[in-house]
Amino acid sequence: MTRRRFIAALFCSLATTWLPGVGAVWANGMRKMVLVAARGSDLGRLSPGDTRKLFLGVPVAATPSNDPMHPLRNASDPVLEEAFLQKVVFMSRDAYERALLIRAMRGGGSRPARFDSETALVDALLADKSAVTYMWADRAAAWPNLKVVAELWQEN
Amino acid sequence: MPICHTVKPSVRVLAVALVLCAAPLNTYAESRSEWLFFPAVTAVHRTGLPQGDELERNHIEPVLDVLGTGGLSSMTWLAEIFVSEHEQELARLNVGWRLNPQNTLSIGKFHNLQGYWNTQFNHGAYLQTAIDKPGVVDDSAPLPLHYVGAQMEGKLVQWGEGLLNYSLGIGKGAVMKNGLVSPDIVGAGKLGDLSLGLRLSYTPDETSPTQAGVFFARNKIPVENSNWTGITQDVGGLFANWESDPFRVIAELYVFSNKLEGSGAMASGNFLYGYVQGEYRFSPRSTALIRMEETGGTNNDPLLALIPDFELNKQLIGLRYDVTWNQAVKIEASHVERLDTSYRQVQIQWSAVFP
Repeated sequence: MTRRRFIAALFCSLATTWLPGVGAVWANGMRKMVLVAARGSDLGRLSPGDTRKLFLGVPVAATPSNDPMHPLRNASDPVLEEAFLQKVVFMSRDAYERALLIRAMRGGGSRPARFDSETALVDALLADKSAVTYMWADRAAAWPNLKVVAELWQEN
Repeated sequence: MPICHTVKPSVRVLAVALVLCAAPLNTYAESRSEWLFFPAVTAVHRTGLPQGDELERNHIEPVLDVLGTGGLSSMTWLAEIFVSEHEQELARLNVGWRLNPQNTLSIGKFHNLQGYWNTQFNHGAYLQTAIDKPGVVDDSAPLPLHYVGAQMEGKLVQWGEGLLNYSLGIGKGAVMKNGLVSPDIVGAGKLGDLSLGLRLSYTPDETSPTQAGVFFARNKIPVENSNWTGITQDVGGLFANWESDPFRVIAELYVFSNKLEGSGAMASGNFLYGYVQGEYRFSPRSTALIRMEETGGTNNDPLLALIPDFELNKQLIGLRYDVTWNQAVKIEASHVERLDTSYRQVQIQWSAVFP
């Protein structure tokens, strides 16, 4: 990279971080976490509190037929996963894994499936109308066959 | 001898069948199933044991607990197989139907519904902070730990975020034969008599580990190789688990009432058992613990005379260090009093969960 390109890249980075107008766009476009499902599913809206319950293994029904929802863990972006655990589940990763294991040992069912690949995750979502996962809003918008069922967190 | 060679053929066949049945289910997005492996290796050193005691002075014991869970639509299943050098057990195997969002009916083999420890950890060494289980859920416990039958469980009442949960079980329990032997549903099949249990627990939040409750159980236990032919046992008690990081307290109280019959004779006895365990997490990966177990009113109790290995009193201190999110190393020192002797022991354990 030439010195001129490097300075231009640095300027853009600082501008997106510090300038109020540009920063707001970045915050609205990038740092908003949403819960998504397949566009064809009949899942209703879900609160962040119910999302927390769902990902901790508590059966949560959000369909007219009262079928329980299936949470899927999005591990394709480590920052997203960490933010989800801290801002929505309110647990460290170790504490979260332990809580899921204790629930499974008690007979509370399987732990949520974890996906390292976003493509595989979306395939699983589209194959199961009761499945939901969390994504950054801009990533969710990139998949036209997904719909947002909850707004989970937004960076201030 | 490798552990896999000591497993009963019936348990081996069942384990393979379960894995084969569960595997295809994974190919459908609507079904969920997974297998968890809980290995542990414990080294024990004991002092003060009398000559000829069944317990070894120095011993290393590897164990493996395999837990399978899954579901399809409103149906769920669970299987747990525990293997050690001395024991191979199909600890749990049950299938449940979610009747509605509040209630589930299951049939199969279950943990008995008493207390906290027996329903939370049982064989999952990695999940419990301590190495040693409390005496009341150990192999030499004075009450059945499993039953085969039906279990109904769910939510009874909800107050805001708080929940009152219930579990109700009925089935066939253990047989007394050199200690209580859990019922089997594969192999030769040793089923005891009626076992009834009710457990009520309150939790301030459905996702909170904090809970408190009561339990009641009635067990009719056939006796083999003794002048006694049967035991009628009523057990009631209280339990609580309180967690507020970095502190945790687990406490249980059991009230036993036993009636033994045989050869025209009858004897009865009552005793109390309780323990308190306190934990303090002094760094993100390190936890210190202390536990006191006490039994009272055991003078000449006819049931305990049949189980001299029962640990009446125990004082225990320990440390746990979580090496990674799924592996822990623990060290513990304890003083144990049984009906027939007392001894001291030091234990070191590595435990883990995979995957």
